[in-house]
Amino acid sequence: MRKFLGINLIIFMTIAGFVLTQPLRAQIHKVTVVVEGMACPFCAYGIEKKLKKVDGVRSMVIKIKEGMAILETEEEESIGLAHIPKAIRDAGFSPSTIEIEATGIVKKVDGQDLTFQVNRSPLSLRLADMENALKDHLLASAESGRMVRIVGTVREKAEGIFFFSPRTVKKESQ
Amino acid sequence: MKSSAGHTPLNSHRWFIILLVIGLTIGFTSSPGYGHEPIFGLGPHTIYKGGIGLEMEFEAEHASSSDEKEKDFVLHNEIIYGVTADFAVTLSLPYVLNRESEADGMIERSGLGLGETSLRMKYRFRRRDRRGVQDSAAFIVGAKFPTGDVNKSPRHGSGSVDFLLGLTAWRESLLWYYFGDIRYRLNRQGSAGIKAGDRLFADAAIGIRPWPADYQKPDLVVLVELNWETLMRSEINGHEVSDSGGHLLFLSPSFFLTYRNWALKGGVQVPLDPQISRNQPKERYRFKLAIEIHF
Repeated sequence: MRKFLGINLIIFMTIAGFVLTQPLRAQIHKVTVVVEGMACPFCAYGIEKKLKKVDGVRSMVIKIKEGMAILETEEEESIGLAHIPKAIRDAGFSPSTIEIEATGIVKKVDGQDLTFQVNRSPLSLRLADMENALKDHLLASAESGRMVRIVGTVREKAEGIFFFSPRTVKKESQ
Repeated sequence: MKSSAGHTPLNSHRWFIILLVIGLTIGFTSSPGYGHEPIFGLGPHTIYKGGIGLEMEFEAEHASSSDEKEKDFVLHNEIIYGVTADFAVTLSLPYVLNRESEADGMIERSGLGLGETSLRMKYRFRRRDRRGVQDSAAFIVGAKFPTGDVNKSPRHGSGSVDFLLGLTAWRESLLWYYFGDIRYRLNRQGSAGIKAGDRLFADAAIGIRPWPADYQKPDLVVLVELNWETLMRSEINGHEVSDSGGHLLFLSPSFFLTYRNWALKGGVQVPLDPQISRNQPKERYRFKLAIEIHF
């Protein structure tokens, strides 16, 4: 009996260790976008049609009352953030605040400026408008080259150019 | 009916006038709107870029006077295409199920046949989006083509190319809808030298969503519309027909019931104090029921 329990414990610990120490994969996991002008479900069908065509979108929830669309992807994929604002405009509405949860690498550019690179995407998000403590944390991540999973708000400054204001670091690779 | 020049009454053309007016009333007045638009007016709503909408609308109209009755049953089929998110094109193919006219004890029924097709373009030139609210305004331009059989009795069209110009605006929100539009239909001389009088339309509507909506759930909006029509005098070979023209005002309750990309909508126009000459058949009611799907 003890031997049986011991073997099960070893198997459990092995699996748990495997899961917990899985390396972070660079990807945009989840996007929550506020859609302005969305007031009726029939009209929102156009949003569904357009956002379904964005790379990496595997599930979508549209909330009319809250005025938002929540997009999620699967393990091996990343959401094509750059195409989301145009998709919403083509649906006949206006994209507003975009919140993302993404894993990538923080890089230093031009001295103290930071960008967030999500390898599966050609998109480079310029980090801006964050608390000093968080900025220091991310500077350290940039120096170490660690992958970080961040939640924050994205603003489209011009077509294809995004500024990313991180709010929290959820996870970091070792 | 007498012409304004005081000539002998043009009895032989009476049927033409009656039947032409019916045809033009249905054929080009009825412009099914998209989605959450008033049933009897035309709103600024378009469809998403690359989107295709199909709509089938059943319309019935009944008008009568002391010695005349007119009934119309038409099936409108529309295809809507979103060239951009703010520019849509609509092709309308009306199919007359039956057109019936009774006067002086004689009844004529036209039977089935294609009505007069039309092409309409809508450009939304203004849009203001906020959370849960959209304000928009659009121009509308359209043309109607003489594809209806003018040899049927009653006729299935005027035999002329006519035009429509309009301006529309609305506010759509999670709870309330407000809408207004103004349209002008320019009629040209068709077959048999007949020109139906131009028409001016003005519509206003208010709607409410009694229960909060969410996506992929049934959604109901109920509206009340006020529809005004001014009918100019008709002409035969350049002479005004005195027994034509007038004003119509309707109170029209209507509804939209939608689910994802499906919409069922309908309404009835109830005439209020029509100001038309006593010899013309007065509108009793107009009824519409439509189904629409977006792809």
